[in-house]
Amino acid sequence: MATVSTKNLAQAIYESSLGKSGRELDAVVENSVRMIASRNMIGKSTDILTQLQLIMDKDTKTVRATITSSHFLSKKNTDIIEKELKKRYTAEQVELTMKEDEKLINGLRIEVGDEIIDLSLAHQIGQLQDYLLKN
Amino acid sequence: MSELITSFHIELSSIISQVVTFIATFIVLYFLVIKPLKVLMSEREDKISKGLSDARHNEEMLSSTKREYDEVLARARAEAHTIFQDAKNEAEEEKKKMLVQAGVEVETMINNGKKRLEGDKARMVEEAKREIVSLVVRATEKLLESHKDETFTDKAVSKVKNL
Repeated sequence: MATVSTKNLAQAIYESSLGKSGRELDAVVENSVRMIASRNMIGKSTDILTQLQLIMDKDTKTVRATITSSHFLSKKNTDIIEKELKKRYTAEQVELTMKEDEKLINGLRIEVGDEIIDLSLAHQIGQLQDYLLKN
Repeated sequence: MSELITSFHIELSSIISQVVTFIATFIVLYFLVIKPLKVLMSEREDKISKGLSDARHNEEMLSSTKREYDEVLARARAEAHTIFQDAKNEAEEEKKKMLVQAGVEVETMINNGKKRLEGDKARMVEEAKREIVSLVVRATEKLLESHKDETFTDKAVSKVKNL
């Protein structure tokens, strides 16, 4: 049996579920699970789900971002960030996950995939530390 | 003549017999004593002569041997002197080399020591710098924590627009 990458498998599942709902979608899901089990890829189910999420996000032009701030962000600020992220990544939807971390001291950090936008005071202090050590 | 013979009571017959006796005795003595004695003396003389010749030859040999011995001794002395000089020169060369080597080693050790000292010094300075920077950063953190700028997050959000 030929080996299939998690990405290809996720793509196949996604394409077979397109435009389906209710019982049809349930059947697709059931078949997908059987295929994964028959190929002994149950252990890779997390990877498959991640790939499926990425494919769906790409297709629906959704950006997932994690915003970590030193304290609770106001609705106004969250809206601004959401708007800017839509513009930056030409996305139609933005899924935000909010976190709080006192270690940031002040400010916030935005993570989108591999990209990190660090606007925290802790980061600035870190930069100051690096500058002082280098000079 | 007859008077003379008479006055001295010389008897001719007696004289003749004595002469004959003498000759006979002489002949006997000649063959039995003188001739063997002469042969013996001749052999003896040859022996002595040979002995002298051998002695001279031996003396010459001795002298030649002595000369050879002296020559060999002189050559050996010269050779020993050369060997000694060579060994001395070699030892001098070795000594010079060792001195140069020791000099190089000492210089290397000094340089290594200097480098190590410089490295230690640089490390110490670096550690002190790190310590000072760490203290400054911690003090800054404490200061900023105690005097939080409420508008910092708003400013940070406005920066998102300019990214």
